[in-house]
Amino acid sequence: MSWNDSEPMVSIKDVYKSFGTLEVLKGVSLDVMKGEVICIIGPSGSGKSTLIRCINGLNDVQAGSILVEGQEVNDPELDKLELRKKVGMVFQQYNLFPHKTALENVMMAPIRVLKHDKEIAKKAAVDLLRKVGLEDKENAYPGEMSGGQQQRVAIARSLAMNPDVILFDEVTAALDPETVNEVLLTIKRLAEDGMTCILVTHEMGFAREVADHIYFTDGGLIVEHGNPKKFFENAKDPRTKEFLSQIL
Amino acid sequence: MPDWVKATIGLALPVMANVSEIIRGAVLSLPSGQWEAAESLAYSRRQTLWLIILPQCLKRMLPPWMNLYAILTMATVLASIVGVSEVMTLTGEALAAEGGRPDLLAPFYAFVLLIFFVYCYPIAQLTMRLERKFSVIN
Repeated sequence: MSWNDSEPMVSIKDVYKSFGTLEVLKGVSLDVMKGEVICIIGPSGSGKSTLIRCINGLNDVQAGSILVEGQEVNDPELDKLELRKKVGMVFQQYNLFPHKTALENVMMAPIRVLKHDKEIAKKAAVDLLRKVGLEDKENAYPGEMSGGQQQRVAIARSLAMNPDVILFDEVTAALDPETVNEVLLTIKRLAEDGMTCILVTHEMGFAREVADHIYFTDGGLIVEHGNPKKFFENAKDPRTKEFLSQIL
Repeated sequence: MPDWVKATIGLALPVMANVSEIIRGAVLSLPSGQWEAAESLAYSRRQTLWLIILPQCLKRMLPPWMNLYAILTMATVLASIVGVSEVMTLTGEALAAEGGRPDLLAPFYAFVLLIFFVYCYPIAQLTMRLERKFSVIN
């Protein structure tokens, strides 16, 4: 597969997706370059989460093309496991494995999926937990940690697979306001390290601060996009304006 | 076919159906997020099932499993239908051998009760211990 940095790492073209008779995506296109941070915002039910779940094949699409590093995701022959080694994901509900400790959650996939050496994987996992500020929680079970801590473990777990791009699906939506910041700070550090990030978020201030590009979705379409400055100060589309006036 | 094989097959069939329903129910009762998280970490379906889903199900399956086992223990009495000499038949025969004295009825069946109790009680204890052990985890 020939793909190089000058082409988009993730390229979505004219994607259509419906659940039964409900059309969720009606022709969505967007490009993400390596190292970019993309925020997708918009009202509930506008297809944001569905869109990013299509990128790692958790949802399939009816029509259109999704290229990840040049590889077509909308292809029945696709090796989903290979795709998912490159695309990490963090969920709104953390989805840590409750029967495993924080450290095991982080090191299990590299050992079982990537077949890394156990000691090396453990060392890497310890480093990752330190990176997200949880070096003292190695042996804690998810049930013993706060939401913000669990979400940081989930980020470390995703990083342990050494992905090229990480999808964040409303990762702070289930957190209380005080812990939102610790998670956002973790993501911000990742972005500064050059990780390609695609975020679905309701945190406008955060989107404005870290995003290279913002997409606004409504009714299954991208109605407006641009860099944060242009987007927040000079929105053209009436729906975007209305949305922004309600939240800012 | 020996009688005990008939009895085993006869008792095993409904138990198999029940156990598979218990497993299915436990698997379905886990939040779908567990599957999605495992999938997005590139676990294969088999790995997801064995490393992530089933270990969590074990705790949920234990109480209904043990219930079923206790019910099965009681149901062994049915084996007499195919000619296996199980405990109730033997008790009946022993009573008859004593001339069917009504005053022996209560002590004989109390003894059967005791046998069942001695068999089932440790299982109940073990179940409770296992449940306590698993409940530490979440």
